Amino acid sequence: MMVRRLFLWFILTALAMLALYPVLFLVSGSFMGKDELWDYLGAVVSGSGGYADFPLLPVYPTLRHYVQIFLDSPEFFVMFWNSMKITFGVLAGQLVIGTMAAWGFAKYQFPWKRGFFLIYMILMLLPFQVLMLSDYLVLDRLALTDHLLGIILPGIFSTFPVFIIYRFFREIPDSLLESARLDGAREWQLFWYLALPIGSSGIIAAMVLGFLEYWSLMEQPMTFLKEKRLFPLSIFLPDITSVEQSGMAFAASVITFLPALLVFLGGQDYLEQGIMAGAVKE
Amino acid sequence: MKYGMLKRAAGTLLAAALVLGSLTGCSGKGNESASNGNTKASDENGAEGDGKEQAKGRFLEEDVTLPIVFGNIFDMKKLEDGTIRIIGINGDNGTKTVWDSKDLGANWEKAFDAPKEIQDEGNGYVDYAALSFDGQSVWVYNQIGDGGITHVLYLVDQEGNGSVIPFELPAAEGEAFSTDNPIENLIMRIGFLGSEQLLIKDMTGKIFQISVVDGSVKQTYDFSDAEDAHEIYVVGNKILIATSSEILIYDGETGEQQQTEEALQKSVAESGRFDAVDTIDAGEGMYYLTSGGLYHYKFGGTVMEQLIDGTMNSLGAPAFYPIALTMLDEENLLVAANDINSSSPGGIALLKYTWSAETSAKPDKELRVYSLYDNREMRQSISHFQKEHTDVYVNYQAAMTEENGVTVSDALKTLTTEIMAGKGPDLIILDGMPVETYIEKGILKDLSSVFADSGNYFENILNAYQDSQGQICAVPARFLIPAAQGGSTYYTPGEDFDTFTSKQGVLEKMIPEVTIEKFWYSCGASWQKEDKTLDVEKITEFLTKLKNAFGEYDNSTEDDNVTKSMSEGEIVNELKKVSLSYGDLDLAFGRYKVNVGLLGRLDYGMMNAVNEKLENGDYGLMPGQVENVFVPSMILGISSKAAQPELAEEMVAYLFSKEAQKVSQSGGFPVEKEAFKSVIDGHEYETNMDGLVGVAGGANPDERLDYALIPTPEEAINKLTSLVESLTVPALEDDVIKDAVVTQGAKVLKGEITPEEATDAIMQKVNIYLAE
Amino acid sequence: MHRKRKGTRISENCGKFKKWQGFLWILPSFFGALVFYLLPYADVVRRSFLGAVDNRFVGLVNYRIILDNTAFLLAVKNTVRFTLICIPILIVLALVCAVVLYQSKYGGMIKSAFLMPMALPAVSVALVWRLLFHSQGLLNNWLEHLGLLGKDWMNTPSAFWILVVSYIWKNLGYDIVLWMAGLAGISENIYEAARVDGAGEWKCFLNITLPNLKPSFYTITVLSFLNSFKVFREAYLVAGDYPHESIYMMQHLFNNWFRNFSFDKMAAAAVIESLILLGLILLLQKAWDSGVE
Repeated sequence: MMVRRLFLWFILTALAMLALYPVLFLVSGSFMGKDELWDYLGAVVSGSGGYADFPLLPVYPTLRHYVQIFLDSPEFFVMFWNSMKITFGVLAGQLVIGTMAAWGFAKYQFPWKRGFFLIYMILMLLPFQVLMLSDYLVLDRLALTDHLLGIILPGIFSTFPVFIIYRFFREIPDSLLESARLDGAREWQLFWYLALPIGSSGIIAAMVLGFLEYWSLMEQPMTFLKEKRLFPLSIFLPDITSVEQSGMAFAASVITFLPALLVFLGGQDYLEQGIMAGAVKE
Repeated sequence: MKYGMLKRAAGTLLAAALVLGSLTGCSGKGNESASNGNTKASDENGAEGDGKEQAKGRFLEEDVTLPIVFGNIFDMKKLEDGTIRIIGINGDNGTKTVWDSKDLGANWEKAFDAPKEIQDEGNGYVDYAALSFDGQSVWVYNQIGDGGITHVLYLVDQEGNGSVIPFELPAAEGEAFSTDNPIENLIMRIGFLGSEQLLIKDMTGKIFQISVVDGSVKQTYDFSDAEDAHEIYVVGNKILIATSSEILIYDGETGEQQQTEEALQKSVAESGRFDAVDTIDAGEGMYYLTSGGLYHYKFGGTVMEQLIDGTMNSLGAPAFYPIALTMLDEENLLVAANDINSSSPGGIALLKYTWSAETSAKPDKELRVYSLYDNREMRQSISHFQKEHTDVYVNYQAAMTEENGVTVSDALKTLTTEIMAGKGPDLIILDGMPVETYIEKGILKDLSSVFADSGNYFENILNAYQDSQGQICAVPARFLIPAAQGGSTYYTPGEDFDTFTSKQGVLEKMIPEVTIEKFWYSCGASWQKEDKTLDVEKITEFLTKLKNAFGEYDNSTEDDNVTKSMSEGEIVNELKKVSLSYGDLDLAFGRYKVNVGLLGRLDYGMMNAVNEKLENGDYGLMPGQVENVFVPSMILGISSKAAQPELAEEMVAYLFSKEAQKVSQSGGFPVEKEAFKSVIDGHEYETNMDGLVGVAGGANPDERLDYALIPTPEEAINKLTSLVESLTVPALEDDVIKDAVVTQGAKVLKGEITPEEATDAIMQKVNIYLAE
Repeated sequence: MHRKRKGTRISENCGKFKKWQGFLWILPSFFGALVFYLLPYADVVRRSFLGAVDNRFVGLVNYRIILDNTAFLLAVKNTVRFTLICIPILIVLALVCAVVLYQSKYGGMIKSAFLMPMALPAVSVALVWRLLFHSQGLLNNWLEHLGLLGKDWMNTPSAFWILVVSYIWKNLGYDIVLWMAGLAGISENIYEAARVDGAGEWKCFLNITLPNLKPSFYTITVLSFLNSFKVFREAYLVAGDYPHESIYMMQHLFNNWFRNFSFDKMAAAAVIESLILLGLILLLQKAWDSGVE
């Protein structure tokens, strides 16, 4: 018994190390000097002979690439803020619109409710490419192309948070609502004083997932934004085929990764409580 | 409360319905144009509502005809008495000469020729000369003697009397030169500071401020440590040292450095290096030219004022190098410039810009031109076109620049969305795009009417994309010829692919990727079968034979190449790699047995020079599985959804005019016959009295190829012309297939996989593509 | 002015409106979805019956064309294969990890390690992938040290498995969290009661844990399915428009069609795909409903 347990643990730890390897890889690469990177990666980047090699720790650690990004690349900050604007713009919108819709689906009856919910599910699963052209035409009509709002608005109305939060609101017992109604609470008060506090972990879970999604958004900005000053961080990939930039690429990756990581780790507990609450039945 | 919500809901639903309506309106073509009209009208209404009219006033450009052809202009100034004076070289006889205009540039007369000491071409040459505002000039005469080159400064007064300024530069320290031609130091720039003093920059980067009277040094400014080349400009009594990144200001009297002006620094950062400077208020403010146009700046100020937008005229053209800027007054100015593509024969142009209050600030009509890669011929032609059509602004956008890192695929996707939304370009340069697909899908308009009254074109090239109904939806304005050259030991012009590739190792030491790509041009067109699928056997044959011709792969040579280009931090651009001249020096110095590549106008001179050096060197079409192939380039097409189709047609017609066809940068041969002749006949060397030679040097400093710059002999012109006339097959332009072939083919040449394996991999990728 | 009454009584005269009252909560969201998703979708459906650029009505021609189109069939095949292989693996693997981790107090740390890949931006993942799986990359280097022969991973059928692994790598932590949350929802009392009855660990798992996780299964499947589309980003960034045929997915095809103005085929394929999605969701929902009962 004990042996089997240990064995399982060993495998799990190995798997976890494997999962972590690319992360360490990026972090370590971001601290390597230009020449060191070139030594290790030259084979892949330029097609010269031999194999790429990569130790887990840099031999001559340097902060050069970070300095380069923070001091010499004003466009990096612009991109960072664009990402912030997009992510928080979308999340703020979803917080209002999405929770309301989830509440509606969870606790009210109206004709064709199942149909509506089905539509929401399909929309959630539809790949971006399917609607790409028509989406562009709509945004163009609304004069939203080449504008951050053209990314933010469709994001706000994404049906994904509705799906997550809905499952959570379902868990609030009807009897609780009934008694609140009997006590004279209005519908919006139910939402404000019951749904939001009880559902907060579910909402936070949706927001954490939303953060990841919009922080690393790629297809939409690439299609709807043309002006470089509007580009978010997620589509910034310095050309690794040039020695000058490969270090930057590593450092930029790490900087992009950090906020997402913080949000993810910070929101981990909510994620657990939130997402499943709706699915667990007595 | 409920009612309020309902009302809002109704409102939003109504809005949704409206959006829905306008979207479906998009489907009908008639509706679409109507709704476009509406937006325009409402825009205008909006403007009227604000009580504003469209801004008026713009500088217009015109050519000034000079009475003689200048071989060079050294300087131009508006003198204190209002005369405009030019000093330069008469292109017809080499005389150093001084010309005046009393009527602000309209009429010119010779003031005098420079003193005879300066004219002596047997013993030296004039490198630099400059004018002062009172009409004196200083000339730098480099005397070639036994002891090497020594410089003599001649001061020429207002009437043409010369005297020597007793000044000698100190010998440059630490600079090593070859012993057979000792040079101690050279003057690299010269200019007046007021009328009593000169500023002289030497080859180490030091700047000397000297008196014209006795040559005594008043100040020295040491920039010998500076990494960046710098220019000197004088504005009033300020000395401006301009590099590509900053402007330093010195007081001409005290020699003290003054505080840098933020606004100026910013301007350099934004609009590039200063090309020419002038002032009309004794240095309170200054006018300056950059490739962005003309700017005005008041010292101590915070903003630069852009007076002329370079994108609307010659100032922003790629081959336009300003020599001197002369402000006649606030509304008129002259610019002397070196402009190979100007209409004047020697390439020295004088342009006048005049403020026109009546012309609208921005031209009314906009023609949108799009390309993947920057096309310098197009840029050049645009500035000519705009000069003739002052009501047209040509908005040219090249999607892929070095810094933005956009991939072809992303760029094309963006182009697709824009075209479908009706916001796309009018004129498209199709190089690198799937031309055939675009024609098939009806993206491009028929252009045959533009060529209805046919000019003198190589019809075989012009009709590269003609379909069975006689429609021409895309037309190449330039073309390249896949060519081969070599000595008679290894290459006979006209031999076929089998014979050529049977010579084992004839292509040895070449770069695998580039070699495959070159032969892709001469072979790819034969691979597509009737049903559009690729012929497996042909591809296997292609790879097998090339491998034989390539021989064993020696990767040590390539490592050097790669390391070299990487350490320089630049990647040689693709077009250049496949060009014939890329391998010229390797052929000339025996590393290559033959040289193959795309022959364009820039490669032609070098190719002849190398052939002359070789034993029985000659050239011909590149052997390939298809014969008589050419590579269309600068392929033009008009979008079928263009907002300005007529204007776009006008532009296409212009691009095929003799004038625009002669514009030549690096894109290939012109399709118009007369222009074709003029770019290869070497007419620009007819006046070459000095026996100038061109020099080509490679990475290895010992390898120098000198070649005479003389007019091309008649029979050589005829040979190339008949070669061009024999071309019938446009090369297959399909980047997806090409990429697959180049990637896999290179592995075959490197010996990593067999031709059969490579063919399988190619077919696998390409089949999906063709099936789509 | 209509005032909300207490309780659930419905006043007769506004019954028709009352029925839709709950819908007001959804209205803002639905309006946005209408404009940004449903309207474009309607446009796609319309386009599926039209020619690509000239907008002629062509009926069902586009559908016929794509059903004969080998690229489309390949993309469908690959997408289905990918989904069918990687989702079960992911879900089962995540469940095993979750069960083990759930019983330990150090589970949290390892769980966090598993979560990290999810936060890694796609471009960074692509960067690492390129360095790992290049023919001269790290993986081949290691293999050579072990005396094995490497290959050009992304240009062989292995590319498919690389994609499967990268999907699992990225989503394992996420699914573990979901399962653990599901486990947390099972009351400890049930287990105790079973143990009192003498049930072993394995029996407890089969008879208590699994049935109680059934509702979680639905959510996890939907979310895993949703995330399986996102693997295209990495595939695209690493291998470009035309990857090895084994990882040529629907999105590759859509992308390429889009670039070449084949909106007719694209729209028809989109409609078919959404119909398949609809079927899948209905199926899942049915399974879920039976699970709830």
